[in-house]
Amino acid sequence: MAFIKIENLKIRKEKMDANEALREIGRLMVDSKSVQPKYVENMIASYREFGPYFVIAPGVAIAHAKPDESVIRDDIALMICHSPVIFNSHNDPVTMLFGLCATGSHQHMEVLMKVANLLSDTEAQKQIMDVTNERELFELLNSLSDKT
Amino acid sequence: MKELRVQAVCGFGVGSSTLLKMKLDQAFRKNNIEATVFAGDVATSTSTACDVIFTSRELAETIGSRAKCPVIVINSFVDKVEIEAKVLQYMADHQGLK
Repeated sequence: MAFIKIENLKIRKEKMDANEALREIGRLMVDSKSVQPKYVENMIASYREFGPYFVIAPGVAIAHAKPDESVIRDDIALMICHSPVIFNSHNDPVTMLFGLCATGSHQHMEVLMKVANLLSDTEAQKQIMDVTNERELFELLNSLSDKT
Repeated sequence: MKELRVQAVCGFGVGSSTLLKMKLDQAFRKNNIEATVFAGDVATSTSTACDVIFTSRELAETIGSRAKCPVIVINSFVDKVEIEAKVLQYMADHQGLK
């Protein structure tokens, strides 16, 4: 099974602020028909309400909102930000921004487990920052997740 | 010793808290401490019975004094070393584990 679908991967070089980055990662999930646009608005509202708590490790954020009717199916997206994004977190600046949507079931557990393994591997993270296109990123993520 | 109830808290109890739950599970298991670790959301976290809450710095501020149990701040949800150290610190401070 592919770790993250290639359509859900994005490498961005352009500078973005926090809201732009959330919109961008949200758009990947909307385009994949995994969430309705409302979900992206919910993610941004959640950031405004709860702050940058989802910046869970140095350089890494997992943006998400509440499982509700705007979620069509469990999914995950990843954007590599070569121009790091500031969320006003102690773990800033963010270079790996995940987007997550869950229907409330536990189907996304397995993929989160893979994310966790990946994030404990600093060598893997270095490799991820070195790839230059989405196809390479896709192949790298698959080979990394096969290892674990 | 009765089994500990440990709550990992994030905004909605599905994303980062699930990750943190996995890491906490590993830390407790590694030290042979029996604990039930579960993910929770910030809104209901203080009304859910548990012995300790682990969460991010931002949400710890939100939970603040409403919590009836110790609230432990985790800076990096994927840092095994930090998580294990804070688990053991909690065990020493609150559960008398040396």
